[in-house]
Amino acid sequence: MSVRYLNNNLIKIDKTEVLRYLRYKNKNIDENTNKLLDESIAELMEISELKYVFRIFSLKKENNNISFEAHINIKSNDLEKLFKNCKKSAVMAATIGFEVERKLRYYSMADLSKAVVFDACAAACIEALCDEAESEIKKIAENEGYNTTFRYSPGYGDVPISHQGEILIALNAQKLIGLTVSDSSILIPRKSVTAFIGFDESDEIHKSSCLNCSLFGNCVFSKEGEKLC
Amino acid sequence: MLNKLKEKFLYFDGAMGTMLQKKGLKTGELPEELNITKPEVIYNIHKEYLNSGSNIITTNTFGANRLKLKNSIYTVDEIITAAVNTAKKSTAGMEEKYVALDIGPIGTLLSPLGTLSFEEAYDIFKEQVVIGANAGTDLILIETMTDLYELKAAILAAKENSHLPVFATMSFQDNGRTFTGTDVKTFVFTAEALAVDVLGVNCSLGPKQLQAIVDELLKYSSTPIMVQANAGLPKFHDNTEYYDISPDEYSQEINIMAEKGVTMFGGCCGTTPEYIQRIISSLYGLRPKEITKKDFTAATSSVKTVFLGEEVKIIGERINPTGKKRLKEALKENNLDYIIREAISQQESGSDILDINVGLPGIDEREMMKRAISEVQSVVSLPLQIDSANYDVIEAAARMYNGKPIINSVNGKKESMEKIFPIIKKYGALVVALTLDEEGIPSTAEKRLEIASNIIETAKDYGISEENILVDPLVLTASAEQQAVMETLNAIPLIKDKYNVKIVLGTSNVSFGLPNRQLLNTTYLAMALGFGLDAPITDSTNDALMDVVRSFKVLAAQDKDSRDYIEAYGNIVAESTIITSETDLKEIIINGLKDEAKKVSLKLLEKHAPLELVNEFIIPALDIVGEKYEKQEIFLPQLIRSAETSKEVFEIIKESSKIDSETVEGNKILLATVKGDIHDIGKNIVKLILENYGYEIFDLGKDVDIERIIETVRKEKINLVGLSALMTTTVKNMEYTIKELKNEFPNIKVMVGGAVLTDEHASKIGADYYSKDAREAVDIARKEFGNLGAD
Repeated sequence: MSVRYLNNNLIKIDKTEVLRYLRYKNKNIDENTNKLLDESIAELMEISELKYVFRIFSLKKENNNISFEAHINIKSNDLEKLFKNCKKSAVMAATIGFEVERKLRYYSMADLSKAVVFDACAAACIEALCDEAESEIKKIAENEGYNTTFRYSPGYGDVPISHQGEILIALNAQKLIGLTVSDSSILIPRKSVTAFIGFDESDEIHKSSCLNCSLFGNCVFSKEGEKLC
Repeated sequence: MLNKLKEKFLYFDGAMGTMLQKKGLKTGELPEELNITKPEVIYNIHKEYLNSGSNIITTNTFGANRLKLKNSIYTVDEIITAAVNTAKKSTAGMEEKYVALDIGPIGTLLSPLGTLSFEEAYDIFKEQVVIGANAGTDLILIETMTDLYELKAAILAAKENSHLPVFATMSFQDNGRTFTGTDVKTFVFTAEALAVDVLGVNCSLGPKQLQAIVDELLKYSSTPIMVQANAGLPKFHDNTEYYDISPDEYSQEINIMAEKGVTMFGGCCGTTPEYIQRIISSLYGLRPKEITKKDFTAATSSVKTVFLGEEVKIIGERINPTGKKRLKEALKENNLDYIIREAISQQESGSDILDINVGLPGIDEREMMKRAISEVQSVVSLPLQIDSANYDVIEAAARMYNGKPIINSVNGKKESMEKIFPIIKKYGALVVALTLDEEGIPSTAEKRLEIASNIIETAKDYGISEENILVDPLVLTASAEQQAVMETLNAIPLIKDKYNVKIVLGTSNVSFGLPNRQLLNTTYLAMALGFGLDAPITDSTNDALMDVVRSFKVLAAQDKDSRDYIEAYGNIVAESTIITSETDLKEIIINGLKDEAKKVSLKLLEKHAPLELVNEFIIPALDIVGEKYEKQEIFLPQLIRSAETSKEVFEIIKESSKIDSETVEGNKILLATVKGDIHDIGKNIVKLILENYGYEIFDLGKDVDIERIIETVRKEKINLVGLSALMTTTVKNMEYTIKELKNEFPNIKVMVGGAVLTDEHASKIGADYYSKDAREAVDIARKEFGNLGAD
């Protein structure tokens, strides 16, 4: 198990990624939105509290039941498929903290256009943090001679988000990084992620696929004919 | 037991989890079950700590609440009773050894950050307290808290359901805040207000990193302080947590804390009996310092403390329906949005504290006050002043408030003091004391002092000290009682010379009935500040009043190096020339220029009827914006900005036309994010756009109970409901809501939206419409209502 508190300058919020979330197709971003974007990114670099925790579990698989050393138990075809060549998996939880949550709520009442932009920037920020966690996990896997699967989160495919609670307990995430879950399985602070990364014994190259996504069939990007994810 | 403290250091035990781990017991499973399955192991750990010198041992009940135990085969009662019994057995026959009932966080967050209600949290803690007290615990230790609101629920539960001493600790990050953002002083003032017997810090950091936090605790606390540090920061070997500060290093840091004034010690994660033993021997010969009484006048929210007295602070007065037509309407419509917007604009314009008054005949003031406080606290970080003429409203609000509030008000009447002071004492608030009594408002400064003295001395009988009182010497109007105006001001130094109280004053009444009120108000405010007023209750959105405050702070040397003043006035450029061509309003809306919109529409209203503005400028502009959005020439942030700009124009039209809003009967739409869900940006966008098209929106906010939706539909005779949910889990609640709505109102129409929904899914859960985005919501509304609304 490892827990990390990162300095905010260690990650970079990718502006093109934010624009993609906001569904800007062309480069003609108007001056006002551009200003909001720069402000939001600067603010996030100031107030984010970047934290993640992960732990590597050995897996037991039986009839689509996947057990992470009895701490987490999930019944899922999709996860079974993902873990086809895995005997171990990392489980991670990451958050950018409550100050961001507070600001999100503030802007959603005080300034909606800012809220939309800030929300997209915060999404890019937690994404960047997860990439950071993933690359640390990848290194561990590589050192042990494993390939890794892509990052797979509750809510994808047939893995229900109701597993968030077990995951947080297994990682002691409330104590270590201040991450909690509501009884509707919403992570709070909301800009947080939990995910599995399998340690794969084959040399199969894992690519995330739209088929695995919880928004499959309803994703705005795919609806608009964009190639993505 | 607490009396002994004054002469001796008191020692808690160290970690339970670390000891269980050392004994080869697996972590991860519910350690509380060991109280029943392996009581001898727990007993032995207690014994080891007692033998190492601990005076107080902590029961193995950190997570023994009904939520965390919901999958256990044992009940909360069985586990806590067994735990206390084992602990008591281990102290039997030993002198000066005590048992602390351990209470940790519930594990899920309270509303409004999360969705657990304050009352539910209270009930969960109450159950633990009652069982623990019945089993014979000597004290209650509430520990490792990171959410101030949860801490308050736990302290109240402990105080109201037992007579035991209450110790409370929070865990801080190295930035000096808990995970949810509470800083050390805010914790101190809130916990002290609730009269905990001991407060302190535990877990999360090692003793070295805790020194800075301990300094803060000592600076502000008048209550004895305890520290339970981890043995360093957590490290991991394979999957096992470990800590690597040695008992020697650990006790050296503790020694420094003892010299500073901490009087109670124990250990947290990674500590063992060896650490306790080492602490005790290292403090041998040292005498505990008695904690000194501090006299700060401080109000807090959950994340911010505002001190009164050091420099002028502004108490924003705008959330008060007296003389405010729009706010009255909003309250009658149960519309909290207006209140939140007022809170935001006051925070942004420089208020330090906000007064909240929602008293209006015909509404349930108690419920409205609770909702207003909860919503305002979830958006704005300022402390609040609870303002009501009803004692039960004040009590309910003081109870559910997150932090240490100000109560407005008590006065010199016997009844007022008898009703208000017990509330102030119990919930530990600051209180505004009006200098009036059974004989009314006195005419002289001396008589004001006399009434203030009576209030302050009576408060002392209730255990309320001077620094918690803010005296308001009451302004009279210059037009009616010119001679009395100076008496109010003269009373300020009289009162401050005699007592350590602060002075607040509402100043705008002075000008009532005279022309150019602003001039009188600003002059009077400047005079009052000169006489020693600490906190005017005033309107921070009024620039002229803020000019007085900012300039006063420079001249009174409160604004160091005139920094705030220069920031406010140093870069003023001449105001840009107003665009006067009338057709420009359309362009202004299309380009989303809010400030210009205000100026131009005011100008236009001099010559045009309000409806002309709507039909000739706003609607055509919105249509163009909508088209551009469909064609993807502009994107969501721009669409919203245009909508916000036209909303600004609508607001101006409403205010200047001085008539009730012109919405068509039957043109009402209710919007809500369903129970359990807290995502509301999408819903807020839909609302903004629908408002633009003239629909009357009843926005019930997020995490909304089905009953409230039903009740509002019935009361307001609503025909179209829009529901939002973003998670697969909360779509279920959406389905229940639709079912209930259709049961109650067979003809009602429901539209739904949210990321995980599709057309198909929407009809499956019984919705009439799926709305992909805000534009579609308008189409749906038009279909339902016909082309009503503004066009």
